[in-house]
Amino acid sequence: MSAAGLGGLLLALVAATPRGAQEEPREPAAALAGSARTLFEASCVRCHGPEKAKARLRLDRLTWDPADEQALETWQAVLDRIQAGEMPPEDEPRPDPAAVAHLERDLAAAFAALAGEGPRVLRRLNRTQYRNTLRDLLAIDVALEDPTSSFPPDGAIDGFDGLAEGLVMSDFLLSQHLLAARRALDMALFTGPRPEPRTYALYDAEGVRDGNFTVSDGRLRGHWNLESPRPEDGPVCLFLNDERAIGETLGQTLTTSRGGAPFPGWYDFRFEVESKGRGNLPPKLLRPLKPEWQQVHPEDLHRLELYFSAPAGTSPVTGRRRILAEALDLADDERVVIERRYWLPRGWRLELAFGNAYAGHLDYYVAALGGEEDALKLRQLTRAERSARMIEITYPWILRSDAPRILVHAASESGPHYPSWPPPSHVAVLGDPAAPLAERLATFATRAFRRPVTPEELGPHLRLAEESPEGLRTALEAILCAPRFLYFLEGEGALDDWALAARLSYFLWSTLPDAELLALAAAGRLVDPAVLRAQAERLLADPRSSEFVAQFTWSWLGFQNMLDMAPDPVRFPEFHAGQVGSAAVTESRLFFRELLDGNRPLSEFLGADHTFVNSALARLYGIEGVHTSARFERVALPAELRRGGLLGQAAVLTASANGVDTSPVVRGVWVLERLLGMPPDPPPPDIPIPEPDTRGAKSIREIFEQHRSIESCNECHRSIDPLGFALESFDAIGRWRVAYESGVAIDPSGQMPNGTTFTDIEGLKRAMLADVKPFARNLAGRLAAYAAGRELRPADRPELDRLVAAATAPGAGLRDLVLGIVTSRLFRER
Amino acid sequence: MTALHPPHRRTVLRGLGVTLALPWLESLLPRRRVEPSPRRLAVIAVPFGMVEEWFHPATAGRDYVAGPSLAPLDALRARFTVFSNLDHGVRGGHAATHTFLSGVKVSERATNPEGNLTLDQLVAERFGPSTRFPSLVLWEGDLSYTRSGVRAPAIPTPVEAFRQLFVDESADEKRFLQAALDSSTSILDAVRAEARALEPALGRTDREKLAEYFTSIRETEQRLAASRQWLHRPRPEPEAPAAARVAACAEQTYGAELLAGWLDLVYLALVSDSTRSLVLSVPSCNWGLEGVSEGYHPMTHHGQREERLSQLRIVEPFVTTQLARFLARLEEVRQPDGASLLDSTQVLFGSGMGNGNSHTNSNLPLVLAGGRFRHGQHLDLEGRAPLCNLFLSMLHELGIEHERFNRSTGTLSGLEFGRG
Repeated sequence: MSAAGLGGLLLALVAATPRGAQEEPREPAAALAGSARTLFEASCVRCHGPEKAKARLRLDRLTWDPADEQALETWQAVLDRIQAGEMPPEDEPRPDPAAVAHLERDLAAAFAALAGEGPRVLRRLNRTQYRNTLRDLLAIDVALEDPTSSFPPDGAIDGFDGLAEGLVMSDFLLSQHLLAARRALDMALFTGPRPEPRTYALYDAEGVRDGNFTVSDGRLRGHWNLESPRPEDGPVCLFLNDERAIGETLGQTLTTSRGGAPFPGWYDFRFEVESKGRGNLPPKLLRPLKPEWQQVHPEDLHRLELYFSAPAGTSPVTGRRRILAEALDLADDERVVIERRYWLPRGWRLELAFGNAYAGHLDYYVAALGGEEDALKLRQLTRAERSARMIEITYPWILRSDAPRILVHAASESGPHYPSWPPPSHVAVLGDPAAPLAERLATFATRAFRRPVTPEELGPHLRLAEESPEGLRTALEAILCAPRFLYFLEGEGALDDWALAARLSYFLWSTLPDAELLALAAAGRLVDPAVLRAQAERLLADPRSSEFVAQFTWSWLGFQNMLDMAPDPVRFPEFHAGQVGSAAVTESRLFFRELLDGNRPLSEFLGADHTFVNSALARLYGIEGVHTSARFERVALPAELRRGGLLGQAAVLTASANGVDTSPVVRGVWVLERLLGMPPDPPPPDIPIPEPDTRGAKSIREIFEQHRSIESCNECHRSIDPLGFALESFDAIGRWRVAYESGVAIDPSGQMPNGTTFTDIEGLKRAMLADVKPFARNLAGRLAAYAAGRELRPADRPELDRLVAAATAPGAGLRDLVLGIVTSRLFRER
Repeated sequence: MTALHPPHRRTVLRGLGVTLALPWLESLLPRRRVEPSPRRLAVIAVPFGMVEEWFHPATAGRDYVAGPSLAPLDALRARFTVFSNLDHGVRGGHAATHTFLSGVKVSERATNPEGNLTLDQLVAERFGPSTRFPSLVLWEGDLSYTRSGVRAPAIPTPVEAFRQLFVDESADEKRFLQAALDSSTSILDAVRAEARALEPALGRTDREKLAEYFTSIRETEQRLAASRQWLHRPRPEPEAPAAARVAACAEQTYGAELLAGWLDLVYLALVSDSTRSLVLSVPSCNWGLEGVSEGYHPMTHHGQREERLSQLRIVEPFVTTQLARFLARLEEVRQPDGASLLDSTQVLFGSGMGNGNSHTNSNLPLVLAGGRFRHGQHLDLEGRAPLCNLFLSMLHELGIEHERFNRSTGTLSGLEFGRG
């Protein structure tokens, strides 16, 4: 349900109904007077009544008021716990099923009467949406130069940064909007003559080095001559990692166009590369000199990385910035031609690097290859001499041992190219110069505001446009800061066609509606659920829907925590040097994508027989036969790996730890909140918490047994801890383990609050799969909130339950759920 | 640090490495009256409290014995006051530490006339126009809230902060900003007109949200008016050694190096008079100190276990050692009126959490250094006064003579200052 969940609910209830303390309980409405009351008197009131009031819940005082949304939500939470078998505890009499059914029916009726009630919060575009909208509205590239890079972070609710309730407007943000709008228009507009393309190659036709290509160390501290002395090897030989290691790395890249792109535009690149000598490093070089330096795995194919490299900064402390364009696994001893067209902003360049090469000291490298004397010579050279003579000294040793390397036989660059002039962005912004100003402005505003504009609405902007020759541009900037652009104006009740087009597009693409959606909206057809559903299918089939998969999994599974509490680089070197972190995020995205595209049952989130790994993840998981670090393979998961589903995925296991060690409580709360939608109460603020004193306890398990011997702790921890204990079999980056570092064996067994016992993570997953509804309801709720851009409310419950029932029916799957949300009232109404 | 006479001008320049563009250096020119040094506030906050028995002295008064976390500051004892049993009376563990500088929870801002306005943002309101940055919020942005309840965004890395403080925009970038400023007035007028026309058609709650937009327009206008005067003034030249240290932490991820780099940056920001209101908030991090393998957050959940306490026993004195080094450097800088930089800068060190192990928000660790306060004591308030009383005293010392600040009931008795 909502972010607050049961814990928050109960707190809110206690806070909001002080009257309960003084007044006599109101008589429950007739609907609940009969069997349901008996149910509570028989099974609940002894603990949740005047004597004990456990969890600060007094069911004898909980009133039945169908108009009181908060009270209803508490009833719902009570019902959920009963239906999950968590309450009443084992030693109390079982509740009468008819009474439970009665309560369920009454609640559904009360919620149905409330549906659509309650305040709605005006939602604004968040940063991602604003950036993508600028990109598509103006036809500009924002991947490398992001006009929103200085925006303050958006407020997130449970990790979701696109919910109306969490998004505020401020002068910090609005002043950034002003700058971003201006910057984006600068990027879109092309004044001056069309630039002529130029072509460079590493060597020109006469075999003379073209100075526009540089072969240099990764940090641009100087230019190293990397040219191979043997012509048959091609001009350039990359054999060192370029900057994966932390510290004093020697790095190598091949960098295009020394001065960077002379104009923003499309540039064509062509590289002919060859991977040689894989696996030929002596064992001494396979072990990194420092634990946090990248290790070479000889079984992995050589990885070529292409980076966009930003113009060098003006400040001495501004480090260089680069963005990975692409990584490729190279087959051994095969010449590969790579042809790419990239958009480069002014001053940007492209770099080539050998991503999984040896990372360490050059002299150590040469010595290990057998060149002790040459290593000594290298050590004695000055920096400048080294730069000039590095290859000359090193190369013979590379050849002698046929050491791992990537040869670049040819490289060329040409550009800037413009398929049309002026470029599409210029046209998108200025429109047809022959048309009247009002018309040009209206065309732009219609797309920007995602609905037609009236002359009155356009008034303030048109006046700006008419003021001066620069006026049109100023008016366009104003439109990009205007309330109709920044906010989703959705009216009340059922959404109209235009609001539906925007909602759908921002849900699945995180950007503004395309021409087809706008045309359907104009024709009044999107209010037809069948048309809306077909459009959702079209958007899902488009590559732009990767934005939905990436954003949703990141928010839902709390991956931000991997950055906020990153694994310790010394204890978990492979996480950083082996790039396990980003690989793990990719794994979870690919997994989600497959369930979505294949309409797989929701239960596969909790137990699947396959996943997606690259070589780094495969090593972490103990899966053999995957040797590509760039490309991911879909692999079957043998049962003994106990990896199936989200709870075996490294990103989930890392995000639910703290980067140093694991905690059954943190992981347990994580599963309750993120997967089951039942966030436990925070420790009560009005009860002094005894200062934790866990000395004398041997294992983490015993520490928590002590904890749970305190009754007020046990109320929640009996739900939290079992989940966490089962996950103790995975360390803080998701590796399987049977014992802690201390040597104490891990005991992953436990008992669920409903009495089910299990011996390990597989047992826990089976217990969770026995009733997939709580998981499904949580996922449906989070998807619906993401889709509608608002927190769900108690009154949304019946619609949510309907979606859950449909999505958990035999044969139904994730795709059905997403499409079901789109046609539900949650999506089609405000 | 002993120079009591106004220094030779060259000495100042050499010591600061700053350019003549600084307003107060101009006052060194002959026949000008020496202006009193500007007043400033710098807050340095940690997220998980400090171990109480290591931080809070056992006895009150001037003759206290400093425990292990306070000991690194002992050489500066005359220049600071340490407080005990002073807090905001709020609860909520991590969820309440954001009240450190306001005493008011975000969720309770409606109950206070000034919302949850924080101390630093009030100072920024008053002193803001005098410097390029009305306020600086650094590292973690969890402690600063404006009058309208918006969290002031933080600059997340020392390198980015350095760029904003000391690296002038290129000519192109200046032209860009000037053009943006020039057109901003009419743009804001147009979008305000659009919003006004839009308003009547909206429902009640949508109108309430749109009020945020109107407020933002108004405040943006003020912000832009202030930035007009700074655009074409060159930024100060930073002192080279500290700048080099900031540069050195460009690739650091460990808390230890970052804290040192940030404190260098804070020093540079103050000595260059780039701001008069600054908050540096340490996030959860891995420290990278010898003997420390736990992350900062988990180690504060020590459960009295020796293997965690022994690591905190390294981290907490490390933090106060860095603080002491920072304070000593402020004390070394002499300003034209003869006062040290520490004399004119209040430095508040503390946390919105008291005991990290039990997540209390009471008996906060608090050290106030600098300013013209009569320091040198351990002031045990025994819960007699809210922390906002200390903040009111601090505001008065800064020359902001408000009658109250959020939950204050008066100034803090026992802490006096001389009028400079």
